Amino acid sequence: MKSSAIPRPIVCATLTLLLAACAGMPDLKNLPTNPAALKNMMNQPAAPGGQSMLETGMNVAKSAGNAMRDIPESEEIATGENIMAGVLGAAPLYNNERIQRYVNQVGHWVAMQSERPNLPWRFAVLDSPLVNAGAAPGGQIYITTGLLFRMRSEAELAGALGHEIAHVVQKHHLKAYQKASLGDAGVTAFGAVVDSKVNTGSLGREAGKQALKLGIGEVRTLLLLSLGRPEEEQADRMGMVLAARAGYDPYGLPTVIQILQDMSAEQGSLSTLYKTHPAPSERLASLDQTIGSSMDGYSNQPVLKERFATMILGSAPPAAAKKPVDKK
Amino acid sequence: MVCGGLLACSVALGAQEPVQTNRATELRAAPDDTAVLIRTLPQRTPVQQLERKGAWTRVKIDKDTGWVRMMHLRGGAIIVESEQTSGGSFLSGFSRLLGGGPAGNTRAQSATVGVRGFSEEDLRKAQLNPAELAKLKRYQAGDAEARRLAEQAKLQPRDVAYLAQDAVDGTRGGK
Repeated sequence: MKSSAIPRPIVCATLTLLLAACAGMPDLKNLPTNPAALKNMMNQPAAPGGQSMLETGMNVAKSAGNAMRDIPESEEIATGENIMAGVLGAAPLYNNERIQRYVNQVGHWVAMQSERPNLPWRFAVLDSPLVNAGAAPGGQIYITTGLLFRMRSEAELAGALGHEIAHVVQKHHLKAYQKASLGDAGVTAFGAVVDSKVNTGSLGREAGKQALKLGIGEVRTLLLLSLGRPEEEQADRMGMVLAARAGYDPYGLPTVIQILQDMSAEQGSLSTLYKTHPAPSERLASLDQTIGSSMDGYSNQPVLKERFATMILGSAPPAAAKKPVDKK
Repeated sequence: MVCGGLLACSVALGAQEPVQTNRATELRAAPDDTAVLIRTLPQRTPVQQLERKGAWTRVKIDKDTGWVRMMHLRGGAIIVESEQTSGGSFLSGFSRLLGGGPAGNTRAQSATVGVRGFSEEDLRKAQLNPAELAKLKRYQAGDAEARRLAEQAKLQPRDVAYLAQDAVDGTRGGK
């Protein structure tokens, strides 16, 4: 296996993944950041009359250690929608309205139990055999059919979405975007773009117009940011609590992690993944140590296996199983 | 066809790792920390899973049957589930989407399924897709719909606190 990659925490996959997914992606350094383009970009003012990204990046770097600026919610939402537009560019929505609405309702119900119930929560079911889920700031969440169709109950879905909702509640990605401009040179410029746009308010002003202000290069780079192990483990703990608040058996989430565990056993090629992300078994061990028996009292709450089967599995075969035979 | 389903599942998942304890734990007579202790199980003890119930999994080891905490086990999520849903609608759906009863192309399919994010290639090629974003917005649920979904299944909102280290400022949402 080629391994030109320098292991670093920032380089993995998509927004953050329930799965700790984010495969060993060895060559991400080559992404859109070629030096000439980067240099050019960095010297361009990010907004008319504004600072260049280089200046912004430096200013951000100077303020490292100081508290990061509080980003207004409207800007957070606009940023998240940008990111989600990029995710939807990588994988389209699964073409089944009933499933999309069902997952949105389950997710919304769980999100209502959070401390940020009024965000525009959206839950995209992506047509992709990859097993994945993730979140972007402001309430944008996705789950692939590859993961959804491996689940067996609504409690599992609620737990997985609860994990992603927790990332949004804690603003994990937003903070990661801000921090990104302080560290890795490869993402400095892009982190600065976001921060400068956020600083000049250009994102916020456009939020109402649904404008996509981040360029595709910026979005692609943000897609590659990942969260650290503490954030993932926190989202696991909070995901269980959110599912319990919503009235479900909170053990749906650890069950999903066990499913990943089963899958990862066969994936020898994933070893690099686990250098930067907690392996499912470590996540379970951590949950066991922290949650302990505190959720036992809620473990008799419904798992809703039948409704899930009716809504999800009783429907048309997913893309992951698409075969010519299935055409009717 | 339970067997067909199981077969398809295990094929799709590759060589099934034996279910085993991921730490030293206790085998108890009932799904409860205060239930009679049958025996202690060292880490990496292989067990046969029989049933899941909330935080607990019923397992068989040698001649003993009892309960261990589900988070103390690794592997076997699929087997446990199949047993629970034997004959249920879930299994047929699940096995179908994994390629159906006849092992057919499950192997080819499993090769495309992995625990990984979108590939680098996907991300390199990704373009912003505002049309899909607009479509997503149309699927967005409101509070009323979400409440209806919960009420249909008699889901009762509960007051549950996060662990202290996860405390969040703000008030939790409507019930």
